Amino acid sequence: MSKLVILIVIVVAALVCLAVPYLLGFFKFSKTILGSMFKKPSTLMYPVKPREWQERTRGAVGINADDCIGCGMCARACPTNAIEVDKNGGEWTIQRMQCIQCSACVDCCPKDCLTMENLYTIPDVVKVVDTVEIPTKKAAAAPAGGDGDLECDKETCVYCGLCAKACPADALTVDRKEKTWEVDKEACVKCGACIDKCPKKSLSFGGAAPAAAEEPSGDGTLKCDLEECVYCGLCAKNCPAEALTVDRKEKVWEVDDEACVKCGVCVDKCPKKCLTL
Amino acid sequence: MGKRTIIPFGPQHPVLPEPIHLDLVLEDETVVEAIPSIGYIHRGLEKLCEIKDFNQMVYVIERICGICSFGHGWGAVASMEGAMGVQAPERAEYLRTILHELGRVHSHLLWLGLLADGFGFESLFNHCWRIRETVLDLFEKNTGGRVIFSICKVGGMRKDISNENLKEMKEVLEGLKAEIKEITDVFINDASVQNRMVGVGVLTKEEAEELCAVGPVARASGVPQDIRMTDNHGVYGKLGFEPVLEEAGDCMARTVVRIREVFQSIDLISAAIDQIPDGPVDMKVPNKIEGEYITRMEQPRGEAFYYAKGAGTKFLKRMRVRTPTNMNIPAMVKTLAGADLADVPMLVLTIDPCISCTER
Repeated sequence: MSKLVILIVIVVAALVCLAVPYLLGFFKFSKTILGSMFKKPSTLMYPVKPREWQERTRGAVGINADDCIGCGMCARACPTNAIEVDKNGGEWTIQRMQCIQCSACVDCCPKDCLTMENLYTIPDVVKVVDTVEIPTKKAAAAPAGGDGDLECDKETCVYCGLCAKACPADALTVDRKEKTWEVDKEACVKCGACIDKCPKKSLSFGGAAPAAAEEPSGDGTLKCDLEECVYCGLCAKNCPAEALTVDRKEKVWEVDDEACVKCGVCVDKCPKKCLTL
Repeated sequence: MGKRTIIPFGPQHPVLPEPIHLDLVLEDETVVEAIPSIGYIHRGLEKLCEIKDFNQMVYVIERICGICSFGHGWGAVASMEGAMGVQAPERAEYLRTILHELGRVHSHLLWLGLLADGFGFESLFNHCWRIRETVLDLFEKNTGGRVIFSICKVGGMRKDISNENLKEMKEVLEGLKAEIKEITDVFINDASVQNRMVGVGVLTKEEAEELCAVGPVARASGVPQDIRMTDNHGVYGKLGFEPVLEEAGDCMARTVVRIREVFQSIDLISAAIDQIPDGPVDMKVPNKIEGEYITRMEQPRGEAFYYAKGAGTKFLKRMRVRTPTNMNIPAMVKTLAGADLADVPMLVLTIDPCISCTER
């Protein structure tokens, strides 16, 4: 009996000795499998251990309702028509299930009141629709005075075109040579971005008198106090008419009087306050 | 000679999550003929592009495919930039190249996992997807999305990726190389994998050329066909790109091409990160599209074709996308004729079919 047991053990041992190298040669994956048996799991114990979001993770659109002016740019930019803006009713509505988190609305918001939050919309059994109350039309338009169409006081306007550049809806056309200023009333969303940008304060929503433009104190031409000037070039960079030439190395500051529209942007921008009109 | 029978394959089949239907005409266990039919997942995205303005359209086009989404976005953007006659800044082109190649790494790792799943090697499948997860995290960190990135726009990129993040991306990918090698060696050396793939579904060079095969399918048959060589998109010309070629033309060769492309893509990303210039990533573009333009783009699955025709407004008159799987289906049908029934899943998988792309 004991001889038989010994024989069986010997045969099994021989088989194992033969089989192991064969199996290891055959199964190239065994090393990886053995290795991963002693490693921590690659999976995350969600939801016990919450996932860490990256700074750029696009989860869900958030809104800071106080700053919203109800212009509706976000609703127009949305590729899936997930956003609805009711300016008069004071409601901003987003259909969460329709939103594709492209953040097109966040990019186009003229007041930067939309944000892309990290956290996804919480799963639910119904199609979530979030409605946020926003300030109504009258309250929102208050800073500009009226609530009518955009108007320009042609007497003070210098046709610099800064308003057209600032317009998120591309509703304004300004031609400095022809001295024309036009607004596409259909396209205008009345966000007021142009009013903020206008250097001469000649823009307003109809119904209110435009704020008086500051009278130029000098003889009307732009001058620079070259003793103070550091030739930083900020004035040239901000000039809407590209009338200024500043060379820092050569210490040159020049103004093309013909091109200058005397808007005063450079005077505001100058860090040394050495420019005067 | 046995009696002819017809076995339906798909549209729901365990090897493929996507709906393609094949009528397999069998004699005993051998496939005599395969008749493909598609049309289960048409979404009309090309038509949708006509009512979305060109900025919104990029987000639509990206959703043609969840795997090569960056490539589709870039292709559409490149064709519209061409129609407008603008050229994106150099840094943006570098970033696009980097993200496109990162997309290739993620796509090929996903496909390797699906292939392992297809021949029943579940643990290999899990390991492929474990490595792919690191790549997805890189995407999330740099673009904000794991699958749909929404970072490409007409005129450049919506966000810059800082040089520190690019450096970190390079380190992570170089570190991944050893892990990927460990897994991909199994595909190449394991006897059970070889039994399923070596000599199966041979597509000769002549057949590949005749049937207009594209991408890894063509390159596995020795056809040097890769749009990245032509230097009409991205900065591949500056990175010293050479296509990966294999001669055998069987399932194994198609797998090896994709495995070598994973390493090649990591090398291309490293080279691009080494030479990326500083500068703006975005520029102002005209507000309307006029004229028409054609772009070709090398997606992970092969050559894709984009055609944009402007209507003189913010909208397009026509957007046309032809995807690589569309071109590879004839080659697949060719290899299916004469194959064993048990090899059909392998043959369908090795062209890396993306039916959602094909039907859009």
